[in-house]
Amino acid sequence: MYTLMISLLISTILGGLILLIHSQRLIMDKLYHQELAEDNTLSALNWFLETDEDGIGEYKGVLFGTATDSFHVQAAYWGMYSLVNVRAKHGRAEHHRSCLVGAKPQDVSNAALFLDDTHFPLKLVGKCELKGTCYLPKAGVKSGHIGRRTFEGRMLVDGEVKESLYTSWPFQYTAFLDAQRDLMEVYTGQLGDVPINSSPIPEWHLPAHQYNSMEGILLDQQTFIGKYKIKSSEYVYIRANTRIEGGIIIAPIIEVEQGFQGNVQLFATDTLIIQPKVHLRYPSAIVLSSPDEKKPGYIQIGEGTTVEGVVLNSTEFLGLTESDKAFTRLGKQTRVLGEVICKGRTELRGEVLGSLFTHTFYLQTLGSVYGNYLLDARISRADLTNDYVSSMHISTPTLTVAQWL
Amino acid sequence: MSKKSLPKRLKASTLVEVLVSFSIIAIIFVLGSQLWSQAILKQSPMYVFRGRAFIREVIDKPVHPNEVGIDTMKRMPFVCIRHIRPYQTEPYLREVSVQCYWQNRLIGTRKRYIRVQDL
Repeated sequence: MYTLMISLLISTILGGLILLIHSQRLIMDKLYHQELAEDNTLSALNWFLETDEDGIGEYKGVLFGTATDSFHVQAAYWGMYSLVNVRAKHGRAEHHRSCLVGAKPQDVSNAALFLDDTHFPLKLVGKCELKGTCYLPKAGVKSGHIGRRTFEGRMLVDGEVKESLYTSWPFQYTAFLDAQRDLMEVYTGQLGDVPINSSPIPEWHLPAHQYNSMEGILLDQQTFIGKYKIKSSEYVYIRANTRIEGGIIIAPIIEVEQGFQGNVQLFATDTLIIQPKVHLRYPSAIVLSSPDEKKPGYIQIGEGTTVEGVVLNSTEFLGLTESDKAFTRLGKQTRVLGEVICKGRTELRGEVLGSLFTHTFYLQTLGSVYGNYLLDARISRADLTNDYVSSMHISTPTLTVAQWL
Repeated sequence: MSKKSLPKRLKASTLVEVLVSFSIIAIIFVLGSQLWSQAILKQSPMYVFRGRAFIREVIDKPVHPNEVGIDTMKRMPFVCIRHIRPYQTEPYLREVSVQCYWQNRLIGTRKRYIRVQDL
């Protein structure tokens, strides 16, 4: 009887061990297949970024010519970037990834400064620094005087100087306007439906949560993480205690309160005011595009604010005087990591670590107003990484991942 | 002389019990050896795990624009063969496949489309 019991015990232990090792192998195989499915998402994304020209569309197919590997890519504009959702399969294993895709600046779009040729030279005063390739008017760059101050730097341009006259703007306006049209299509719904706290796990592959209001919107102590689109026909005021991660705000007038921090894309048609000491994390966007050609748009970025991404004042006013053109003002100690694009006048008192493309510069002091002057400003492309990814509408064919979601 | 008492009769297994026990162990051994040979002897989980980690490193390597063809990478006791082919007419896309061997046995394969990078 004991022998029988002992033999059964031994058999059970042996069988258990074998089952344990077998199940371990099964789990390893499952994980391996999951990794292969993950590989397929990367393959599908790489294939999409190489073969698709505008980074927008929907594709389904097989990978490597095998029936076990398949993919589904969906890409649509999400503000200034393209939101790409990739779902891939390997056998039964399935993997999904989302990312924001932008364009990698090259050639002209990789320059530190692009200044339209208005037949006036660029004049630098105080501790100005221009570092990187600069596209300048034929009249060039000179040292200027404001009061008793003159240029205090070591060299006017630390980099190559090229003429801007025959160089086209490094921004695709047609593509941008198409994207704007898509962006403005927001389903009607009341903001009252917005929960105070959104889901902590953003679901980028699902349709966006869209809210529309005919009245002004005050965002106060609310949290929006993920695919949120909020539109007002009047104004949106964002309090510092609001949390936005990845959302889009659309309104004629947008104002962001002092001390706000987040990752948000702001699209205004009239005025966009960023109060001091705001931090907009990458990839954020401050965009002003006025549909009314007689009413130039205005962007003001307060002192000590940091913007990581794009500042765009796209309104172009042909036939108007210089003083009527779209205006972008970047206050003292403002820092933009990315690019500033303004088809009108730009007043720069802080620093742009990246690129600045503008029609003219503008400088207002206590006593006077100066055209094409820079005072204590710094523009340096060298301080921005070479791997920086800009918005979709920069003139370059190289699309790449700006952020994994 | 004192008469020693005979020891008590020991309890023992019957022949039937012993035969049944041996047959149970034999059946388990035969069935188990099949799984054992698959799970342990052919592909040790530890070796498979290490080998697959090596494949991951190889497939994650960036591809230079001029890099096309076959190259071999070794990390004892594993050997990985990486095959880089152009993808149709796309100038900046490559189909990369990696096969990893341990003692001449294939322990894993991975394929990926990779964009070439200027290093």
